[in-house]
Parts: sequence; C-alpha cells; structure tokens
Amino acid sequence: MNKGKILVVDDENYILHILDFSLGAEGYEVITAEDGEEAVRKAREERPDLVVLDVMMPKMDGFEACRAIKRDPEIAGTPVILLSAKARDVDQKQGYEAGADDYITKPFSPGRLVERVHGLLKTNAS
Amino acid sequence: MIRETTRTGAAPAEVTLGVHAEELQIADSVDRVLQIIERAVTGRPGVGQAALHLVNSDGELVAARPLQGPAQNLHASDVQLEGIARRAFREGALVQQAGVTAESLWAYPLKSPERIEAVVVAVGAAAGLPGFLAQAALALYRERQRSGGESHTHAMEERAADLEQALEVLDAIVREGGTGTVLRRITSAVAGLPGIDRATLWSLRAEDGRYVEAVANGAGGPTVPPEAQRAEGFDTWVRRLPTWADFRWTAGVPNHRTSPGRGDALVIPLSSADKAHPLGFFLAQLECGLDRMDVVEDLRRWAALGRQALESFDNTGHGVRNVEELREEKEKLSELHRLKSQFIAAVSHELRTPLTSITAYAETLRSSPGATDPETQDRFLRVIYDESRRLTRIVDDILDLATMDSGRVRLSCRRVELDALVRDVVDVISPLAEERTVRATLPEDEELAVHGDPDLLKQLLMNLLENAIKFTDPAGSIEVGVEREASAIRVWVQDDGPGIPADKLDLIFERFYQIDGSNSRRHGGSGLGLAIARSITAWHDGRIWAESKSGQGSRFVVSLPRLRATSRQRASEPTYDGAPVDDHRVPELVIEMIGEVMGAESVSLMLPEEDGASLFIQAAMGLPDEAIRVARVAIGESISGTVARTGVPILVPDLGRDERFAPNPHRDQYRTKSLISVPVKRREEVLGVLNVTNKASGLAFDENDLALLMMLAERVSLVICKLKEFGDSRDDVQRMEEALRGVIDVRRHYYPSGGFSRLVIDVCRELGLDDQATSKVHYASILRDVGMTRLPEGVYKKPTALSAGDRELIRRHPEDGARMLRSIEFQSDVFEIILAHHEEPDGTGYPRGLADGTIPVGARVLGVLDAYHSLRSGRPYRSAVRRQEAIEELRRNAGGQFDPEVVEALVRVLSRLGSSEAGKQPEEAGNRS
Repeated sequence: MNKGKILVVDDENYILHILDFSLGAEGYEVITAEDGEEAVRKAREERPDLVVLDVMMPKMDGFEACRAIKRDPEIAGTPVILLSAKARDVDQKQGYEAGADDYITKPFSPGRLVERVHGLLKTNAS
Repeated sequence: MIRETTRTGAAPAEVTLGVHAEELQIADSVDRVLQIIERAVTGRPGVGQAALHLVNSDGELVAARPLQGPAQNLHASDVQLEGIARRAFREGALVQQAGVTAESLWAYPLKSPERIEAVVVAVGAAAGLPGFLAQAALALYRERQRSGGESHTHAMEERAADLEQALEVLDAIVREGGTGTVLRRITSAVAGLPGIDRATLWSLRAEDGRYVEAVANGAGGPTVPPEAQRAEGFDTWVRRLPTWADFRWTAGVPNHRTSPGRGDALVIPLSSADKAHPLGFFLAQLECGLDRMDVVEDLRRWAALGRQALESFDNTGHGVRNVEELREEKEKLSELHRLKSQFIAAVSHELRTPLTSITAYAETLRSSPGATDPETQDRFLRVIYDESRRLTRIVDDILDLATMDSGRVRLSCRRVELDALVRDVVDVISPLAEERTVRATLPEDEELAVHGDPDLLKQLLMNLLENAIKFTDPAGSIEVGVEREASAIRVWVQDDGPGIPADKLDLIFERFYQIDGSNSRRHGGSGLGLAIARSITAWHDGRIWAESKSGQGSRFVVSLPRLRATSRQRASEPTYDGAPVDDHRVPELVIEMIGEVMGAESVSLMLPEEDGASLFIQAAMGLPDEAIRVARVAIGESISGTVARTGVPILVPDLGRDERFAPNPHRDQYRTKSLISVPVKRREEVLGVLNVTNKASGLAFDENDLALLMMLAERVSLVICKLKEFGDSRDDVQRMEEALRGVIDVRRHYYPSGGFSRLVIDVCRELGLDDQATSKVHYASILRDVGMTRLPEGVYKKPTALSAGDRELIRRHPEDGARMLRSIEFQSDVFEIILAHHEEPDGTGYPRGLADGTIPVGARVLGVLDAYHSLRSGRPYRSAVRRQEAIEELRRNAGGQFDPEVVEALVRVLSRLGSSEAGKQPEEAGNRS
C-alpha cells in the first residue's frame, strides 16, 4: 500500500527515526537526508512526492534548501513542509517566502504532521 | 529602681523596630524597603537630623534623602553628614564620631552579601538601629535581586546611551574644531531640563586656579562671586557630589540647604575621568522645589558630557584618546547586548531540540497503533529518557553559567593538588570513554598545587575531557597532563581528533558554538561545556586556550596561578570569597603583582594599626590565613617594625649569615632565607611596609631587587592614596584592577622571568646610566608588554607566522599598555619607555615613527634586547639561533632597526658573561612583540 515517497530531512537522528516510524506506519516510503545539500541532491535524484525539511542544519539551512528546490523547474512542484524550532512569526514568514507549502513548529505532534502530509498530497494530486 | 526605668524606657522603641523588621519581611519592592527604613530611622527617639544615602547601579554612592528624627535640636552640616557617610561606605563598617555637641554623629553601611546597598547617617543615638539596618540591607538586596536581571540590562542600555551621547559630543568637537559650540549646546540642554530655569558652566582656569564661565551667558544665569571662590573649602566643596546651594551665596559662602526651592542652584561638579583633578561645574538654577534624586540622575549624564567637552578643551590629544576609549567601550557594550539576544535565541533552540524528541516519541507511544510491541515501546522510552536527561543537563549548565556570569559564585577555595585531581577525574571518566584510551602524564616529586575551588576545578577538567572524548574516534587516545611553571600550573588535555581550524580557536569557547554549524545534539553534551570551562578558569584568574595543528588533534591548555593573595578581611570572612568586585581585591592584586614582578615566594603589605603602635597585615600571599589574621608586629621591633619606624629599607640577602639580626628560634620554621623590607611612603610619612621573602628561583635578593621593590613601593603608595581618596568610585577601582591584572598577567602567562632583567640592568650600566635611570628602565622592561594582554589569546599563541591583521593588533600594544597603566603609574619617563619600545632609529618603528635622538635610551635598550631574545629563543614558526649569529644579525641592522651604541654595549656585556654560557639555552623565553 505505497501511498507515496517522502523525503525527511533533519540533523537529529531521533527526529528522523520518529518521522520514519510515523509516516512508515501510514504506508509511506520514507527516505532521509541529514543536511540541506543532501536534501536538494536527493530531491533531484529520488523525486519524492513531498519533502519534510528541518530549518537549522549544517552546511545548508532549510530555508535555502527550500528555495533551491522551488527554483529547480524539474522538482519545483514538490510540496515542502518546513519543520522548525524557530517559532516566531518572522521565521514563519521567512519560511513561506522561501516557497514552503506549510510551516510546523517544534515541538510538534507526529500525528498532526502525518495529517498535513495527507492533506498536501491530496491537494497536489487533484 | 533605676534599672526598671531604663527598661521601660527602652521597651516601646524595641517594639517599634520589631514591627518595622516584620514589615521588612513582607516588603515587595526596593521602594517599599526604603520607606520602612526611613520610618524606622525617623521614628527613633534620640535621632536628630539624618539621611539615607543610596548606591546606584554603578556601585557609587549617590545623593542622599534627607530625614529628620524626633530630636529636633540635633543638627550637623550637609558636609559633615556626607563626609561620614562616605567614610562608612568606604570602610564598610559603622563609623562613629563625636560631634561638636555631646551627641555623636554616626553612619552605618547596609551591607548585603554582594555589596553595600545604602548608608544611613544620623546625629544622635544609634542604639538598636544597626541590628534593624542589617536586616534592612538583606531586604534591599532581596528586592534588588528580584528586579535584578531587568535593572542590569537597563543599566547597560543606559550606559550605552550615555556613551552614544558622549561620542556625539566628541565627534562634534573634532568636526567643529573647538569646544565652544559644544559647551554652549550642553549648557543650554541642561537649562532645558524640566524644572531648571537657567544654567551656567564654569571651568577651572589653569593660570590662577579660578573658576570662570566657560560659555558667555548674556541672560544673567546663576553666578559665583569671586569672594565665594576665595572662601575656605570652596575647592573641596565644588568637587563633592551634586549638591544644593542657595545661589545667593550668603556672606560669600555657599549656603547648604536640605531641601531646595525656587531660586536655589544645583552644583554639578565636573572632574577629570580619573577624578584626580576638578575641571569645573554646572550651576543650574531651579524653577521650583524638586525631588532631588530624579534631577541628580538626569544631570549626572549631562555632567559626563560636560566633562568630556572640558577635558578635550585643554588637551586635544587627550580628547581624541578618549574618543577611542569610549568607542571601544560602546562597542563592547553593544556586543554584549547582541550576545545576550543571541544567547536567548540559542537557548530556546537548544531546549526545543530535546523537547521535540520527547513530545514526538511520547505522543507516538500514546496514540500510534504501530507502537504497541514491547520492543518499540522500550526503544521509544529510552529516547524519552535520554532526551530528558539531556534537557536537565542543558538547564543545569545554563544555570551554572548564569551564576558565574552574574558574579554570585561563592568559591570555597583551598589548596588543591592538581595531580591528584587529574587522577580522580581520569578514573571517573574512563568508563565513559569506552574504547578510547585516556592517559595521564604527571611529573613526579613536583608540587602541583593551586589555590582554588576543588569542585569547580574538577568540573573544569571533566568538561575538557568530555569535549575531547566527543571529538575523538572510538579508537583514539586522549592524554591529560599537569606541568609546573614559574608562577603558574598548566593543565592540558590533548586529543587526536580532527583538530580545530586556526580561525575558530577562540570561537569554540562561545556558548553553543559548533565548528560545523550543527547544533550541539550531534556531538552530545549541552554545547556549554567549554563556555563553563572558560568561566571557571576566569574565576580562578587563570587563562584557557586551545592549540591545534590540522591532522594532529587539539590541545586545550589551562594555566592557573600557583599562589594567590589574601587580604585580612577575606581571611576573616570566608563567605565573601571570590566576589568579583569588592574592596579587598585591589590590595590583593597589589600583592600578587609584586609577587610576580619580584618572583618572591611570599609578599606582605603591613599597615599601622590605628593606635600607631603596631603593624598588621593588610594582604599577603604565601602565608597561612591564620598568620594574616593574627600577625602583629610592634613598630620599632623586628625587621618590618624597624622599617616602619626609620623609613629606611632593609635588604637581607641571607638571613642565616646576617649578623644584624639575632638568631630567631622560629626562623627555620618559616624557612626564610632572603628578604627585603621597604617602607611605603607618601612624601616623608610612612604609610606601611612591604615585605618580600625568598626568591622562587632560590637565589638571594640583591641590590637590583631592592631598587625594583622601592619603585614598586612608590606605586603601592599611589594605589593606597587613591583608594583612600576615591575608594568609592568603582571606575577608578576598576581601572586600577585592570592595570594590576595586566601586570600580573604579563608576568604570569606571557614571559617567565629570567635573565632578561639581568641583561637590561647590565646593558644600562654599560651605557653609563645612573642607578635611578637603570631602575626605571628595569621597571619599564617588566611592564613593557602589558598591552599584549589585551590581544585575543589566539594571536599570541599562533603557531604560524602572523597575518597582517594580527600584526596590526600587535602594533597597538605599546599604546594599549601605556593607557592601561595610567591609573598606577606616575612617572612620565616610564610611560615614554613603554610607549617607545618598538620605535626604531631610522623612524620605521611604531606607534609614532620616532627617529634616532627622540627615542628614550631605555626604549632603545629594550628594542635591542627584545630582538636579541627573539632571535635566541625562536618563535613558534622560526627556530632559535646561537649567540654569535644573533649578534651578527643585530650588527647588520645597527643604525636602521637598532641603536648601534646599545648593540655594542650588549656585545660587551655578553662577552663578559663568558663563553661557558654561549651554547646554553637562551637567557629567557622570548616574547613575540
């Protein structure tokens, strides 16, 4: 029952594990990356259906990775959910300006995140 | 019967104070506590005129709130009241003074664990009040703490705003090429303050010591008649706190009044930055009676501007220097502010990270149908547990750091054997190191003790080792060692991890900093370990830095002073130990400075008791606390007592063989072999006695050491007098501390003492300088690189050749040094040598590019000797050369970089030293300047 491929990006292993677990339990195929550069590369190579992207990461941060994805015509249509410990309004605004489709602040509820993923994939498909 | 009466008479008052004491318990603001104090004081029978002096956020005593007790007939002048309040503030103890009438005048400082919070001064009976006031002090402290964080930030912002304004003024002076316009502007700004009618600015005219209007005032503002200026005490009067005067100057004398009203003038004194001399004052005429506290605070800021302007008035060079200093301070403050916001953002991120894992796993555990098998549940719970512990650790570390930063650490210092400590910590940490090997390299039979807090030092070492473990492969190895230096002990931790890039060596001590930009979770730990290590080191007056060569791992080095000085107060009040700014620190730093400069095993400063019959120890190092507390020497007896009486120094190269002194049965006990005792004098008056015993090198003290100690004693006299005069101005005290710390630092951590001084003296003599000039050069040679202590650690220790930027930084050190020393140095020729020791005869040196004849001879000597030592001892990036090669190199550059006469004098001195030493190690480890 493969519902789609999700790229999950975070430099925290614990977060990758729990997202892998939660999305996997819902029937998604999960691939992971640990920094922004790897995220953009995997987005191009693996063509995921959706990207969940942490913001504060080494090498390239989530905002920049998001912009890179949205600038690349080949993959610009992939929905991106930013998942960030930066919780202020200005941070959210910056996220949407970078082209994010959704912005979720940490700490977050894995259940709610899965719902948003469902939602975005449904809108995208229709 | 009489006894009965007394008891009933005292009882009601006791009850009242008891009620006030209860009120203190529930008071919920600083203002509330102040009100209670006021009511308690003014309600005491037997108290007449009184005042409550407050201490502002800068730790300065500010103007008083006048109070009146029930005894209407007891008066004293404002000057008297203020004088005694200042004394109590300075001395930190109840001061009582018999008044003109039979009633006594007293002042009581309200001391909290941190500082003096306020001073109450009154005419009349003090009975019962001190006990109550001691409680009030704690209540004030409590309430101040409660509003603490906020007011600290507030003070910082206020200070930044002040500096901003001061800079504007100075910029305007520079731009407009004169101070006239600026002074006019400031004066009209003062006149424009609410409640102030007109204002005039008066400046001191150097020629006749009269005050004249600095800005012509056509509007007929308040004025000071010439006869008032001639009145006795006028000079001291205008240098006091902002004070009120009847501006009509009744009978030519300023008329002090307790509560000002319309037509009165406020006098705001302006004195030079070091408060050593008056510059002038503002006279501000009031429109109406005002609450004095508010206006005084407002005016203080304008006074600061007026001072800046007046100072640049008579000495433009000085003014420009001030711009630099102010700019520096302002930048430091904005940087602090920026760091603080950054820190809060970082903390919030660091706390959110583990919290995110905890909530995500907990929620999944609770609601996900997939998480029901025991194995998954166990795995999830373990993550929750680990992350909770991590969270706790971060919170603990933040609290530790906050405590250390706020200056409220109570160190419980004692003798700590660092080798034993290292062994303990390695035992504890080895299990955590898993496969990695942790090895301790400890020298045998060496004394490796420091004076410090054993728990904090243990934490310091743990943090360094944990850091090393984090950055080492599981198969890697870590080594930890302890080494003894002349006056410091070094502890180092070496790992074989990836190393640290040169430009990051300083940054890694910043909170939450990670070289790869990741958050600290990636490497485990809180991200605060090194920041805490740095704080602990600073609390022990030590230094910490990292060294690293790519591919060879990193080495963290902590250098801790071997001996610390202790003041008598501290020896008797252990709870005050470690307070960062307190009144014992300056005498202690003086002692440590002398210890470092003289290379002595013990140093003590003795002052006469009030009765003038004996000496007590004000501060000492290398002596047991017990001795510091109880030691008394009768004036006229034994060595220091004789020096105190005669004012003549005594040098004892070898006590065992000296026939002047009777054999002392206790002598062996103290193992005193060699000692010098010199008087500390102000003109002919002996203020105290300075003793040093036993050179750490084991050699005997000689005439050169005596000459040096005499020079130091003159500086000590200056410091003592300054402390007496403005002991309550934190700015001055801080400047002295900075200077003393600089000298200690430069001796302790930059240049181990050695043969350099010997060469300086010999070369000076060879050049025909007299004893006094030689001593000055010798003394300046010790201080010459004080400015280097302001460099970032990395620059000095860099293993590679210096970059252009580093060189630029280093070129500032002569000026920085001269500036730092201003508060403890008074001889201009010493300044000149320090300032010019990098000038070169062909005019290519720095900072001023002086040529040939204009460079002081002392500076030329140091220029040659610095170069010689640099050649002989090598640099991290260049190896050492032999004596003959060094001489040839100097001769090649004689006339250009070096003074040929000095080079040849050095050659003659070296040849006399004999060929036996030619192949030996350099005379002294070199420096980099």
